[in-house]
Amino acid sequence: MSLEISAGKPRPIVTALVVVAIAAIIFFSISRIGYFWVMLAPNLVLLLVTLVMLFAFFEKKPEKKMAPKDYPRLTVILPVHNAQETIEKAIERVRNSDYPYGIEVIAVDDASTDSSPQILAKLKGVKVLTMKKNVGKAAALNAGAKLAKGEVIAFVDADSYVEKTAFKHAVEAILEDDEIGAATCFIRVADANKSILRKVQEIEYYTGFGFAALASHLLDAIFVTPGPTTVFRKTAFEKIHGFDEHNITEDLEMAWRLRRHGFGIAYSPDSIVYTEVPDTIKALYRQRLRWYRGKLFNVRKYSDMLFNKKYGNFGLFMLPGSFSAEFAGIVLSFSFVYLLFRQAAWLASYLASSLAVGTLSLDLSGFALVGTSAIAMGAVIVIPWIFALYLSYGMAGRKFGLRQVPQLFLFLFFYGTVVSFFYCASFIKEVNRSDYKWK
Amino acid sequence: MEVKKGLYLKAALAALALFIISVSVGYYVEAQNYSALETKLADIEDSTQTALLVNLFMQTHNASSMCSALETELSDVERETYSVYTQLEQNKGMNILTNYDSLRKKYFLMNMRFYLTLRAYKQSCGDPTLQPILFFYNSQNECPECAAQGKVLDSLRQRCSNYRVYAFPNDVEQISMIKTFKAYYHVATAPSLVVNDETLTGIQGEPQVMARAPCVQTT
Repeated sequence: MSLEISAGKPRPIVTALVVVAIAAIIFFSISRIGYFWVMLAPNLVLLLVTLVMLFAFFEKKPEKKMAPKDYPRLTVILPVHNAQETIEKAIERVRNSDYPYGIEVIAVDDASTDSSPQILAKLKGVKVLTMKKNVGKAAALNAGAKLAKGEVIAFVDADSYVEKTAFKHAVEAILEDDEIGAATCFIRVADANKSILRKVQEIEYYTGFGFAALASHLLDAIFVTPGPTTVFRKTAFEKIHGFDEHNITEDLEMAWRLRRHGFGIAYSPDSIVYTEVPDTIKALYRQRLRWYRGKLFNVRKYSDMLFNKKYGNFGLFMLPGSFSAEFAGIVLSFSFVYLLFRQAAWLASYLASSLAVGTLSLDLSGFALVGTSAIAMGAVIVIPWIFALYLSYGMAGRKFGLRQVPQLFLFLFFYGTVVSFFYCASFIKEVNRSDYKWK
Repeated sequence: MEVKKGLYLKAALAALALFIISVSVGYYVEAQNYSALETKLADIEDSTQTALLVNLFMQTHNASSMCSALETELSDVERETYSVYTQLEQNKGMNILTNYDSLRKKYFLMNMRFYLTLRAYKQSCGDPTLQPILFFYNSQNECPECAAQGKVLDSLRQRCSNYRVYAFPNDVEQISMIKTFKAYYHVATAPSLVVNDETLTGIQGEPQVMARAPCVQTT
């Protein structure tokens, strides 16, 4: 998709001043009170957010109603743009779904330039809507929704694969209450063993779309209707006039708009959907740039919802909690990298001095990053987070043991830092009002 | 939409409890280290007192026959004090909750007393081989050169049985006796060494030190 969104006139001086001010605050704090305390403060924020989620997770879950006697008709819409590698599998999974009625499948070809149109033409029982020019995902989805005959519409990304009963459970979740406008699914990483980056993202998806999604649901505070698959009540979708076509994270914006209109969002942990995720850092950067910039953009758009009692736990906890956690991640990453650079500079100077006088000792006992007491304190603070991870793995039917340690280590010290820097880059681009190119 | 105030309160209390537990665990770990060092320092204090008394006895009774006993005592104490110095310096940066200042002050004062006792012994027993070396390093400020100099001295202490190293912080203002030492030996920056009453500024390699203080190779 080549949609381009212009955010306004760039302001590099303001951006530079903001960046210098933030960096100065962090580095000044480290030099005055020490990196341990600077790193402890964001950890306490993360601890609080995790504990709220954990307590929510163990709240009494509402009793599930009996399966409905009659299921509404379902339309599945897939936006397709250059998805020749995945579209056939995605549609095949939709058609193999276990649903009481035949599913209406609409594929919206958003001016693909690869062999996607030919693949779609071969598939039987799929209505294909072809856009003459590339209009972007949100517009493609809206165009598809206009043709939908079902009372319930599921939007499925062209690189996402639904499990057999995913739609059935999601529709049951919607039917639990008339005020529910959408039901989200348990999104997982497809083919997680394909690359290390996928393996690490697997943890993120288990926690984000598993444990955190269920906890958010129990708080009635789900704040995204994930792009890979979300099921909507058609009346709710129409009432809020579909997706915002000028928003780079239409799935996030949709959730916030549903809430603004008083609709609830359910979560169906039994609705399992596997999705393709980035295999390279560059691709991950592009994806996260879109997510985080979209989030920053939408928080400005919906700033009145922040700390607003009217929106319950969503306004009071989920929105501020989510941003605090991300800000905490940024502070942690900056401090961690600062510490690494400082130690590297120390080591370089030490080695140079040692070599200059011809006595090189490899005993680097004075080089430790942190002491035993800091490690002991950190170990206590991460207990709830490890427990949340254990619960996430449990939700995914996976065992959580020593075999996950290398994956966890990478997630914490490499992936977490990298993703936080992506968040910083998104923040800088938003402050600078850089144009967003959606390729 | 129901706001779950009770849940937030529970989470806040749990976070507070975990924070308190975490600080307690950290404090316990540090207290263990502190206590181990304190015990070691008390042992050294006893040995230093003994050495001082032996020295005093020798001077008052002109009993040079006790020189070898005193030399042995001083050698043992020097090994111990040097290991305490290493641990104190490592713990200084790594400890978050415990203040090591009083322990450090106690250590440095004792080390000075010990150094002066050694000088007195050298004079009264006329031992020309013994080489006391003063090492001034930066304690508060980053000093990788000081760490490298420390490794040079570690190596020299192992190679030369007659070397005795006494380390003092160059950038600690609270201990007036250190200021006196620095002024006397014209020490301004770190790392600096005082070898045979000669002050060497900047990092020194093994040959430079050995050129000023003949080494008796360890057998």
